[in-house]
Amino acid sequence: MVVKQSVEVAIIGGGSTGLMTAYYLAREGVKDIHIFEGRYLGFGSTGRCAGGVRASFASDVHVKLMKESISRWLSLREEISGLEFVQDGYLWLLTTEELVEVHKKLSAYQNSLGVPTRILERDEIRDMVPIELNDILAALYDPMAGKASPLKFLWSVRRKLRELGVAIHEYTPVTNVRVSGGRARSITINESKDVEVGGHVVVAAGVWCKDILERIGVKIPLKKDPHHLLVTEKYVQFIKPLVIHKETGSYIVQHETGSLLIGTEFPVPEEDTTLRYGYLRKAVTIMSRYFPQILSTNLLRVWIGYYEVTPDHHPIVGVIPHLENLVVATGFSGHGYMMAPIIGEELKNIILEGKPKLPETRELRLERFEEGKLLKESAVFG
Amino acid sequence: MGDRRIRSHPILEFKRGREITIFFEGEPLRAFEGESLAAAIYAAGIDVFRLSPTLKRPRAVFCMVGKCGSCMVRVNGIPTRSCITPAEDGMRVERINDLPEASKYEKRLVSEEITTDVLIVGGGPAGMASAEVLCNTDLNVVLVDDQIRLGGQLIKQTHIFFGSKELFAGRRGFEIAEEYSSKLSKCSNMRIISGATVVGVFKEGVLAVSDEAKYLIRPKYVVIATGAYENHLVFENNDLPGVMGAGGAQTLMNVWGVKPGNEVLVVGSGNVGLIISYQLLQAGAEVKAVVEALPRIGGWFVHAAKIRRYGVPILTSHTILGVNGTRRVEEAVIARVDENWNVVGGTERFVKVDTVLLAVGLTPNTELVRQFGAATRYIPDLGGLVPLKTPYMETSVENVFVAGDLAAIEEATTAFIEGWIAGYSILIKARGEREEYLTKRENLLRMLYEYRSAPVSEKIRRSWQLSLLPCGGVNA
Repeated sequence: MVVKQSVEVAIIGGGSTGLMTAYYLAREGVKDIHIFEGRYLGFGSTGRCAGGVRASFASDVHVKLMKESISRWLSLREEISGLEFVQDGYLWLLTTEELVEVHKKLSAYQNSLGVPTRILERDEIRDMVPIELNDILAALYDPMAGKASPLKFLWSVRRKLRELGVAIHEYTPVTNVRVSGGRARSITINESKDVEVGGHVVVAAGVWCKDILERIGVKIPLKKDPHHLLVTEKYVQFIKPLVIHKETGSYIVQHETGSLLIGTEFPVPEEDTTLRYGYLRKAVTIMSRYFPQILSTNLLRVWIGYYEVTPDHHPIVGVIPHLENLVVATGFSGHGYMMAPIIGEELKNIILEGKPKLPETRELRLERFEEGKLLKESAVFG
Repeated sequence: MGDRRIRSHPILEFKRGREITIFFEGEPLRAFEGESLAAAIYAAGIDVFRLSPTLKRPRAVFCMVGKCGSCMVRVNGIPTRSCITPAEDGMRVERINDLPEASKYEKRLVSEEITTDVLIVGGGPAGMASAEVLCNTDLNVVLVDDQIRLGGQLIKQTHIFFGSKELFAGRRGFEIAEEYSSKLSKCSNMRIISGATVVGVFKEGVLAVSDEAKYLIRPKYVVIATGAYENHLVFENNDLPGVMGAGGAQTLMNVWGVKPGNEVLVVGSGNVGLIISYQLLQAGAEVKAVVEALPRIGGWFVHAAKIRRYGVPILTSHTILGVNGTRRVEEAVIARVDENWNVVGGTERFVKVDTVLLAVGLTPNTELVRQFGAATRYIPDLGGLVPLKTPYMETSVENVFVAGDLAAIEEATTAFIEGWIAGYSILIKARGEREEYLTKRENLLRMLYEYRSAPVSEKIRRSWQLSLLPCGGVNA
């Protein structure tokens, strides 16, 4: 598609945040919305994530935003044909007395904010999933949480945006933003062509936001944190909730399609993201202790995707200081996909109303790092 | 249910193992130990191996080399691709009529780490040729192949090779495979791992997995000779049992001695389509016709003449529109096409057949070479996405070589030559530019050039240059 000389709204990044922003803007009747993606939709972190969605966090900001986001996920599956969101819950397997104590307190905190998590005994866990309990003492269960297949999300939202008239430009990297007089004036695509922007520029390019913003002198405290994930062939659904082995940071999720995704903590340096066999061995060794079924499955692919992590593990959302029409949303620290619906709607509010609707979103502004007002976990558990 | 085993064959003698009993959906079936489980099931007259998960459409064997998943059944409770699983006495086999279930798996795989000079992936002509060059040198070699028997597609080739003696003239593919298999098993520096699939390239090494073990292999040099897949074709009901890849049918018929069908339509008149038609006649099947969408026959005249002598019509400017049948193909619909490939109305014809074989080309199997990070390019004349390489078969990743169909869809003969070239290139890199190696490699390059001067190699000649990297980076 040939890009016009000037557009109203330019969204940089074809991931979940950019797509949701376009969706909520288009639904309000905004015209001339253009998404620019350097590769293809979902190439960044969205297409590589596991698709878990939960409000059971340990900070007020996260819990409140995610409760709002879950209510959006529930309406999105009605509004967008083919979008899948299944509220099958999250299950944290707890293997030490200390973890059980911490999670009891965490659950009480979450309950106080209206997230109905609860501690399950061994028998109750077995009723929920076909598991070998081994050393599991108890689990924290979050019935409000769920999963949304990222692939179905990408396809269904793409189709919806096309219906709404949003232009999607793939293989069109944005290499620069030109600013003057306190405004973003244009963006440079394919290192050569300038496209004027009449309204707003939204930078929603995940870890790559840092590169774009640094070119116009905006410093943003963002670290790339590579994480592995694997996918198997499709099998009859046998694990409904997303299951996390808390002690090792390992997890497994089976989407409605039947594919199993398995992740684990396996730190690799940002500069060498060659796939590690050590990850595969660790992920399978740990999860097969509890789900020996996975040893009979066929592995399809292993890949690495990035978490874009901020110093306080909370996102950065808002207008860039002194640039009235340049909006950023990044730094989700591994939670960008689940937050995309509420963040997309809040970016719409920022663009149309001049400010976000929720007080929690206002706390996510970039200035907090310079001012030393980092967000904190609301309570320290353990 | 009939018995589809071939009793007598003019060329092949089937060396079957001990007679055993397997159970399909509880019914006892006769089988032979070590043969492909899918072949044993098909031989017993079973048409439907499984149902598709969503639309519950019947499925059966298609590729016979473990690539397509159509023959997936539950074996002793575990979802398994039956075509590449050797039959064992007492196996309990069930249809999978939904997605397969992930079931409890008690077997623990043995883990082994292997450090080697050379890893060869694929035991077809290209891989075997590289192995031959490296046999009994002072380099350690590990050859990994995912099939039951070594030899790639050669094991099912019964036609006689043409050309010069050094390129196997007068010999049949399966004889060459047997000879190489036995020769390579005697190389003192070589370890052959059959029945294992190379699944991934990791920082710690290359991972190969079999039913028994997993191997983490650390090679200095790699030859990737993973061959190609058979192409499918779009037409109505093209997933019905009885629609098979020509190569899949060849495996059933020439390797396992099982007749793919009684009345057959072959789609595609390239060499594969012509040769399979002749082999079907040898196996006692009737070939109703060969259809070819182009206005001329694609393969060599000798092969076409052979089947015409038996009265098989080769219908050029014809295509297949669809097949009908409930549990298996019962008839095919064919029609004439014009020069723009449009169907000519009113020329539709029904042909009573139980089998349709697709000989409509191959696609290079480049997954592994791409995992190594090698540069690729889409070159339709070479078969699609192919790795770029130097004339010495080295990819853009140093010390990673390619040979055979994954580099460009060609033939067994060129696969051998490329495999030899890759083998000598490794010797030259590892042991220095010895006169003997350099001379041999130059001769092979000349041989490859001459072989490709034949009219059938026109596409390769036309586009080979597009896949070449400058050879400046290569130590030669």
